[in-house]
Order: sequence, then C-alpha cells, then structure tokens
Amino acid sequence: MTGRARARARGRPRGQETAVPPVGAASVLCHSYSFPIFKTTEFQISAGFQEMSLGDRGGRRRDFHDLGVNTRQAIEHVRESKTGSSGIMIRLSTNYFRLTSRPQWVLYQYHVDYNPQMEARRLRSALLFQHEELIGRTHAFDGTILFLPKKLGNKVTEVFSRTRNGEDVKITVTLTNELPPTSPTCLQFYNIIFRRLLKMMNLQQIGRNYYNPSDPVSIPNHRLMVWPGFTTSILQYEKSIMLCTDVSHKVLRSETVLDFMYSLYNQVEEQRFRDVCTKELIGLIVLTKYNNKTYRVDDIDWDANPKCTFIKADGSEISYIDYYKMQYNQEITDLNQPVLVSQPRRRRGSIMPGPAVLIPELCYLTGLTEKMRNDFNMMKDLSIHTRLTPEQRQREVGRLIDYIQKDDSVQRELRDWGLSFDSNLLSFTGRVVQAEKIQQGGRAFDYNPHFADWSKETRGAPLINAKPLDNWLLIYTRRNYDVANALLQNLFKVTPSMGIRMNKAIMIEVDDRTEAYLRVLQQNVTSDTNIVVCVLSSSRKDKYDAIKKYLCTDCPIPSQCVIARTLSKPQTIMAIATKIALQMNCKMGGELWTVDIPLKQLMVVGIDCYHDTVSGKRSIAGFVASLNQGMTRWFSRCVLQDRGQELVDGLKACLQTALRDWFKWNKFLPSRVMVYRDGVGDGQLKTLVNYEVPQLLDCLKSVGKDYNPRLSVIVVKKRVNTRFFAQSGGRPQNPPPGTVVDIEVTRPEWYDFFIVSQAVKSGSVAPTHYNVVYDSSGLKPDHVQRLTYKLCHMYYNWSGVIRVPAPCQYAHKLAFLVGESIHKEPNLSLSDRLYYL
Amino acid sequence: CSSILLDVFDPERLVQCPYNKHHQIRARRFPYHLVKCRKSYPRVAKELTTCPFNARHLVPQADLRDHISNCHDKRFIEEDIVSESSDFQRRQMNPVSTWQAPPCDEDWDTESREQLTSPFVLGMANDGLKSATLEHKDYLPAGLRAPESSPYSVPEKAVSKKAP
Repeated sequence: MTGRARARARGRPRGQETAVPPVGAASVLCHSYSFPIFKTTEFQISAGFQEMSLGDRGGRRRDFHDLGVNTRQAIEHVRESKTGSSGIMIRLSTNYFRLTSRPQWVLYQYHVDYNPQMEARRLRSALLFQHEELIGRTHAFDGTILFLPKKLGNKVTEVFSRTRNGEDVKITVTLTNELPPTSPTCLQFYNIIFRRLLKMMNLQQIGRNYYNPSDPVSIPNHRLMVWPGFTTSILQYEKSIMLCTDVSHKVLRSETVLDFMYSLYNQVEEQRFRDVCTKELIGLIVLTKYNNKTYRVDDIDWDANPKCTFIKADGSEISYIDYYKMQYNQEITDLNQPVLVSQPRRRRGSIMPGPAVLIPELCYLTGLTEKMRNDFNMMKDLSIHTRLTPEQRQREVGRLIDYIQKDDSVQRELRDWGLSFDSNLLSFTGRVVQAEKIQQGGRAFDYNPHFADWSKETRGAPLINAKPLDNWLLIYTRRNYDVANALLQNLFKVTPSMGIRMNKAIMIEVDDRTEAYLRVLQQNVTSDTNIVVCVLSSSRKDKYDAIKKYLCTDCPIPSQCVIARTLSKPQTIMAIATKIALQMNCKMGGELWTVDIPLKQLMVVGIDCYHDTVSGKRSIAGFVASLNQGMTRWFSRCVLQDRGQELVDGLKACLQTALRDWFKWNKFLPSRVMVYRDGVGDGQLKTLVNYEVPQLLDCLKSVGKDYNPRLSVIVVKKRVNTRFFAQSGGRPQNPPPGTVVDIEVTRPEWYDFFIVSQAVKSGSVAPTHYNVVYDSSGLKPDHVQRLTYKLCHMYYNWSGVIRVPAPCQYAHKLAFLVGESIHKEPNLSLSDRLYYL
Repeated sequence: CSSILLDVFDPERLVQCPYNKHHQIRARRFPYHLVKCRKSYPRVAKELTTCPFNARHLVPQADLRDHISNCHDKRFIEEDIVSESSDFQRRQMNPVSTWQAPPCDEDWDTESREQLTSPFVLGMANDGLKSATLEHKDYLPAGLRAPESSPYSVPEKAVSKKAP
C-alpha cells in the first residue's frame, strides 16, 4: 500500500517525522532540527474551546512532505541557481497563498513541569490554565510543551495550583526556545493551527483532507454523494511560507453496509454468503454519519448482534442498541445483523485501545469499487461534479480563503497568533519551452502544441523501423470471425504506408475457453512466429492472463490482445487498426519516431513499482533502460519483491544487466546515466536517496576503475496538489504543454521543477513534479528540464505528449503486466522489445 | 540473513537487523531501518558490505564470497548470462536498426563542459567530473570494456543447468 493509501485506510492524516538525521551515502546534507515537542506520542494543543491532538495526525509519524531532505546542497552546479532559461514567458497563477506574520514575529516555546508529578494530560492542562491571566487566552499545550505568541516576564516562572482533591502542585514554566517564523517547528505549528481553523469552520476531517458535510452534492441515480472539501498544507517554499490548497472531493455511497449485505445475500448462495461478504467488505473504509468518522473494516463478527453487551470504561454493562441510542441518538432497527470490527491503528499513549465495534446499519460505504470505476456513465455523471475547469477550480480555491477572511472566530484566532494569509492567489512568470520536432521516416513533423498530439500529422509516414509481419497468427472465436476478418483487412490497408510488409495471417478459430486458447498456442506458435494476435470476446481477465503468461514466459513471442467490441464499429475500425499496427510493431522490436536528443552516449533509465496489497500480490519493480541514441529501443528487467514493498532491492543487478546490454548494442559504455524514478510515496524520499541511489552508484563503480560516468537521479511525482492557471484572455486557463515552473512554488532545499507536458480535453491539467535528488552530470537545469520534456514525447503507445517521461510509463506498463497477469519474470529473450505495451 | 531467503513474502515477518541483532524488524520496514541503523552504527557499517544482487543483504566483507555463492537472487544475473548464449539467434531475428538520427542543432555535452569549467564551480569535490570523458575518443579509455560477466564468479554448473 502506498503511504497515501495507508493514510486513507486509517481514515486520518499522517503526521510528520520528528527527527531529521543527516543522510549518508548519497552525500545529502541535512539540518539536524531540534524537535523536542513532537517526541511525545500524543501532543494535545488546546485552544480553549477547540481541541486538536497531534496524535490525530497519524500513528507512525512519517514526514510526508519530505522535510529535511536537503539534496540540493550536494549538487554543486545548482547551489547558486536551479532555474532554466529557455522558452517564452507566460503569466501564471497557482493555488498557493502567502502566510504573513507581523514583523519580528517569534513563537515562544516553554517546558512545563509539575511537582508532584501529574500524569493525566487533561489534569496537567487544567492545572496550568488556572493561571490564564499569566498565560493568556492564546496558547497551544500538549501536557509538556507550551507555545505562546507572547513572552512571559521571566525565563522561569513558578506558580501554584490546587487539584480537586486539595493537593497543591507547583508548576514550573521554563522558556526553552524562541522560534523564528521559518523554523521547522513553526511549520508544524502553522499546520496544526490551520487545521484548528478548518475545524472552527465546521469542516470535517477525513483522511488528510477536510470536507464540508453540510453542503453535499447528491447523485441519486447512482446512489452517490459527493462532499466538497480541501486539501491543505503549509510549507516553506522557494521564497516564502505558503498555504497550498486544492479542491478535493469525497465520494460517499448512500448505501449502508447493511444494505450492501442484503443485496449480496440475494445474489449468492446461502452457504457462500459469509465468505463472499467477508472478502468484499474487509479492508473497506466506512463512514459513520453520527460522528463523521471513518473506520477500516478489519473483521466481521458473525456471532454478535446489536443486542450484545459490552463493559464501558466506567465498569457498567450496556448493549450496543442502548449505547448508540444514548451516545449518538441512533436507533438500530435490524437486531439480527452481525457487527463490524475495526482495529485501531494508533496507540493512545502507551495503551493500545480495544477494537471498535460498528453496526452495519449505521456505516456508510465510501469510495468507488472497481466495478463502479468501470461504469462509464457513472464516472461521467460523477465527473460533472468532481472535474473542475481551471476557472471553477480557481474560484473554489479562492472560496476557502474567503471563508477564512470572513469568519470572525477564525480571524480572531489568526490575529491572536499574529498571522494572516494573502487574499490573492500567488502569481508569477513561468516559461513555455519550445515544441519538439517529431522525426519519422526521414521527415520532421511539427504538431499543434495546444493538442500535444501528432497522430494526424504523421499519418501515412513510414516508421523509423518497421518489422515485417511474415508469419503471424490471428486467433478468434467463431462469433468474432467477422471482426477478426475486418481487423485483417484494415491492417492490410494501413500497414503499407507505415512501411510494414505483411502477409496474410494464419487464421485460427478457437473455443472461448482458456484451455482452448492455450492448446492453440502450443500447437501453432513456432520460433518463426512474429507475433500472435488474439481477438478476445470479453474483457475477462483470466484468458488474457493465461495468454500473456504463456507467451511471456514459456514461449516468448510478442502478443497483442484486442477485445472484439473495440473492433465492432465500422467507422472507427481503420483508426483502431492503425493504433494496433503501431503497437504490434513496437512489440516486435520496431521503432516509430524520435526527437532530437542533444546528448551523446546517454542511457536513460525508468523505474516504477507495482504493488497491490489488498489482493496480496507480490510487489513488482519495473526497470527499463534506453539502448540507443534516439531513445527508440529499450531494455527491460523486473524484480519480484515482497508484498507491498515500495523500494527496490535489486537495482544494482538491474543496472548491471542494462549496462551489459547497452555495451552489446553500442560497443562502448554510456558516459551518462539518467534515472527517472516514479512511484515514490510521500515521506519515502529520504530512504530512497539513501537506499536506491547508493545501489546505482555502487553498480557504476563496480564496472571498472576507469569507468566514471555521470549519474542523475530524478524522482517523478504525478500526484501533486499544485495547479497552475494561465492568465490569458481574462479567464484562467490550463497552461499549454511545455510549461515549466522552477521558481516560487518549488522547495529551496531541492533541485526541483514542475512541467506541464500533456494536454487535457476537460478539467484542470495536473503538472508533474520532478526532483533531481542526485546529479553529477553538470548539465544546466535548462537542459535537464528540456530533456525531461523531450522524453515525454517518446511513449510509443500514444502519438502525443504524456504526463511522465516515456521510461517511467514503460516501467509502469511492465510492472503492471507482470504484477497483474504474469506473476514471474518474463523470458529475457523479450527484454529488448516493448512486449509489455 | 537466511530468513530473507525463506520463500515467504509476508511483509510482516520479522527480520534481524545486521547492525544490532536485538533489532527485529518487519520485512516491509527493513530498508528504512537499514538506512537509519547504518548511521547509528558507523563502525559496524564499515565492516559490512552489500550483496551485489540484493541491497537487503548485508554481510561481513569476509563472508561475501560465501554469501554470493549461496544467494538466491543470483538467479537474476545468471538468467541474463544464460539468455546471452541464445543471443546470437535473437540478434539475427531482431537486428539493430540501421536508421541514424539526423545530427542535432544543439550540443548539450559541450555546454555542460563549459559550465563545469566555469568559475562558478566551487571546491574540488567534482574533480572527477571535469576530467570525465566527454569526447568520443575519451569514452573508452584504454583497457576499459563493459563487463562481459558478472564481477562475481557464477558457478559454471548453475549456468549450464539452466541453459536450454
């Protein structure tokens, strides 16, 4: 599970790491921050009427903003400047707001001691705030550490309080720190205060984000409900501390777990019901509307029912019916339902709390199932509410700031702390780098940069390297004879202009059963077979998996599966046949197009991970490496790892085999290796830098004493909350493909930048974040940015620019195919072809 | 690290830390723990070396040879070597493209070299970079070639057993 998923599964946000020790082997420098406050397992900040515990921010306190990973320090040529220069200037605004404080703002940190010792945090708090006249109304206190916006008269203050039992307690308040606004402790403090503000505005926390339950959008025909909300974080960005906020939507189902159980009961036989139900429900996140909290279903207790009793904390016994009636005023009607069990993930102090027992009738399902995601109409109806145009998104983001400015209690809280937010979106100037020329068949093609697509322009142009279809199989079921034939005829029409020589396929009819497919393959595939094309009658996964497994491992021949339905429309079949022909050509080792790569002897590597903990499949690391100057041929390997593992253990061996293959192709070794690493979760950056980068360096070192290539490692992140709006023509619009941002919203401690490489037809475009964590290349930032953009043009399954560099997408496709269908490493004789497309 | 070699992929199983045998770590957190412990035990870290096949395997330098001959993950490299034997046939089936990209208008290699020798570069730490190979003739200094086999000997048997 990714960090994000885990946090979601826990139904609450993840916190931040406390200590930030320096990192070693990859020569990454780091501040050692003093972080005494958050060492306690549970840190309560109380602001009179509002409470928010730091413990709420996650059990394992991982640093999900990757604070304190100071990779830029170690990269000499970008210490002064990491900005590029090429391209046309463009006016942009973004979903960031500056946080401002009054001049000479300081946060005072105190340590609070009790004599005699008081254990209970609540008691400690109550005793201290008997002296509100001393401490003031504005404060944050966790039981040990106290934050104040003002300085107390003395460095050490002693006061006396009396408990209800009449015991006198001496309280010593000692000043330990004066924190400037940019101190990392302050950053955490801002985030906590901000969450407090969101709570004051009656937003409800689910996962890391905050939602507004009072303003839901209902989609009755799909029994769905959408809660609008915000994701927010306050961080130190390039020049200032800013709030980054984006619109987020929580999809809830208007179906309770009990409804779900009933409808399932009607679908399956009685004796299978419990098994099926357990399988379907475990791991799901449910929301209880009486307290708006989310829980993960860990177990179902079939022997229990709402009439069962339990012992409350005060020792009295009470039934679930009475408890829910008393505590939440909820009426339970079905007295025979089983109960759900949710294990808490977080310790409360040193005590592990018992499991939470939930009543299915009161629990609402959240999120979408795979089946719902595949329901085109549902997703379309949902996207009306969740997919926002740049204009809508900018307005919604501005609305949060409006709320903040207009809410009196929020304003008072901010004023008391001496903080405020800019009321305008941050705006600055970005650059749109030049469009690339697509080289294909001896010609260079320009494409319309606004669509970032050249399928029309290059239609009819011969491919760089066309593989002949001399001997190939076309397998279909009887029902699909017509579409198979139509595919064949259309392939005959489209392949000549591509330069593909094609014989008629060996047509084989097959029964629509997995064994029948395998038998046909065993009998007909020979070592001379170029490729196998299967027209499948449905999107059922078992046949696809069996075919792929056989043809990737036992009998390594490229294969192409097509679902009959996609070929059924006569008006689109030619376009589809064109795409299939291109894809088949890549799978056989052909090459389609290229762009100029102004670096010699450069090997580009892409790494991505596939993991699916829910179904307990092993994690797969996909590794691809370019083999030639034009980045048209790719070598690939994959590593099978433990379930849920996010980092790669076998990179040394992967890179070694890639170098060996490169040498066989080129008769020399690359002088530059550029690694694009995708699939890194929030909070994993530090370990990645210390665990994976050393593997790559070790491998290069082990090749030979005189071999000293330059290495760059770039971490690619697709899921970011940053959005850019181009301010042209009076209305906010999506920035055009090629927009590069390397100022203002980047992080000062990183060599990072954003690129908008793709074009979207609807909604707001999401930029991709690139973080160069290691770089001995000496390349200008401008060139690294442009190379990255060039590589986004090189993904052969799409005649256009994609969101990530092609090697990342290839590595993703490989890991996905192996993880979903093959479950072991494919035969290495395929390793220099794009068989996994 | 024999526990790692067990054919169990349960991410929750406990694995012993090579730096301190009292640390029992869940397999899924093992890389994170290694990174942390490497700093806490710099002296032990100096004596340990990483297996070339799997970065989780940290063994004393003296035991590396033993470890390599027994390491399960060696298969990864062996398979590569085995596939080379059938490589000739593959190359014929799938010849390298004879297509050559037209020369680029730009040359970033030259520009990066200029940047490296510019006075902005501080310190000598990146000395290796400046002398690093840039022009074609420099790419292959005398005596340098790609590894034709794993730097660690792979038993002949293991290879021949797998060969078709």
